[in-house]
Amino acid sequence: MAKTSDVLGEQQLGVPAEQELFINMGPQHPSTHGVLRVLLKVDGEVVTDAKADIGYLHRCFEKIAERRTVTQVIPYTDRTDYLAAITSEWAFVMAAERLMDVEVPERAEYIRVIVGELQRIASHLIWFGTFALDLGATTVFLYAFREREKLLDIFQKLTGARMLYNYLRIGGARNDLYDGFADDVRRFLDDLEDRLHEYHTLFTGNRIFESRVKGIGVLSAEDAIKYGASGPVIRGSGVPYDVRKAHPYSVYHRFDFGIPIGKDGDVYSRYLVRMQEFYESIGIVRQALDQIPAGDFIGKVPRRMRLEGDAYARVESPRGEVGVYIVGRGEENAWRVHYRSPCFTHLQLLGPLGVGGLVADMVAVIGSIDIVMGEVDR
Amino acid sequence: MAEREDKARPEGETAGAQTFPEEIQPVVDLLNKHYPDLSPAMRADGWLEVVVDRQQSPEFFRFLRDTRGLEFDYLSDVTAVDYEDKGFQVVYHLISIGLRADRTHRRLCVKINVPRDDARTPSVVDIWPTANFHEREVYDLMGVVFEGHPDLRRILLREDWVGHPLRKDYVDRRPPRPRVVEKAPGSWR
Repeated sequence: MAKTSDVLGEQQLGVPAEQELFINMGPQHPSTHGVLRVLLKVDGEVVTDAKADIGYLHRCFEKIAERRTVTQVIPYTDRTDYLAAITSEWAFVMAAERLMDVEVPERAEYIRVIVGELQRIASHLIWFGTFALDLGATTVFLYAFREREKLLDIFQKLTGARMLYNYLRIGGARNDLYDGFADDVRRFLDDLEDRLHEYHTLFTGNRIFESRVKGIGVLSAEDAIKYGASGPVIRGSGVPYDVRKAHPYSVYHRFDFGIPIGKDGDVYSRYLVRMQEFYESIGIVRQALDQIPAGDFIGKVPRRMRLEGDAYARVESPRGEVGVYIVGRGEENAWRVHYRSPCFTHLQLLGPLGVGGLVADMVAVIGSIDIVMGEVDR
Repeated sequence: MAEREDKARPEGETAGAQTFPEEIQPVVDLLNKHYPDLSPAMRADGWLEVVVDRQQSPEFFRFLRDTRGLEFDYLSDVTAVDYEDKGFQVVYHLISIGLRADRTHRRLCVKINVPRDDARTPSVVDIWPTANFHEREVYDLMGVVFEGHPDLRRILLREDWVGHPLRKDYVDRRPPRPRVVEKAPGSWR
């Protein structure tokens, strides 16, 4: 029978050697982005072993989903990756639509893309602010959140909520875009482009910042694939894998956008990839606003939505590849719902990326992976 | 511009005669050549799907990863489903990526049926290191043991938890906590 608490970490990391010290980083820690516990063995300031211990935010999402109809599960999907709630909803709704062969009208697809890319911008703004904050640059945090406030106002006008929207539905969305949405969004995007230039000047070329992140946490392309990395983590290592391009969903194949790829696989590369993704998302939203057709915001769905068979749908969330696997056996409730979280997979990288570096480098590595514990633990 | 991925399934299929989209046909041919007893089928969401015996599984997975023309180097997900009397089914979703992400159209879902009273299957951690956490989660919540896993222990639940909650026959045996409602001092009621 296992001990209830592995306070000294000897069950997971082994007894520390004479010069080594076992330290818990978390689960309450300002830099672990949620309730993450990282067990560290350090020799002085150098990390000799690191393991992630998770489960502090486990809320039984998959079990609860078996006792709800598909529409009732959507608010729960918001709360997995709560910083990119729309993409979590999207993956789930897409899997259910594929299972039931529901057609989504064009306008609804465009609405999803616009809201999804705005969500990417909002999520990256938090990542940017908290990443800089972890490295000691407090001003950046406030700037990033100031931008995000404008976006949250737009989301609130559109969906009624700032962060956990419950907006997407099987077959489309809950409501159409409000009058003036396009103007609000265009104004925000123009503003954001100017500010991004400011942030680059303030932060990206900063020598202290560069010495904290260049050459730290290097992940080779082969390892990135072997460890199942996705999103900016795998792209930072040079592999151009993006679900929107590899397996296009919704109407992404109609837009002209690039996927930024890093060169060195270090924290700096992942940082640059995400910074460039801001610009790509801005481009996609502008194109979508230009192209969006008139029409229905939700398609024809059966009154009783019975699920039969299984389907696995993936979207490109700001953190990587989010997948939802739904199994149905003829009822309105799913038989099994599984949520594939990119950060869950990325947490396996803490050991390979952090060992050999300093404790401060571990902070940079965790920040560069952009972890949201809600989706890790579900 | 690529078409939507789930429309990859061709229209008008008749039962028994499986036609595959042309980019996945080479994968089907290779599978049929080396493992003629499997019957790969297209699923409604655009994934090619195959059911494999757990005895074959480590060899089959290495074949999938190392054979020219398959090269499934990316394991997207490992999960399991509880089908009650039919046992558990461990589901693997694989994609072929490559360093230039130029063969991602190759996708495969591998399913392994596992009897309920002998819920074990070989681990694939030496083939795809990413499986480490995924298999731990399946063990934790569903109780399927992955033989050969270097560190098979609970991941989401507490180390001393008893039972596997995602199973359909799971009963929460924790003793009920007494609920005490206290009135706040100086309450306005």
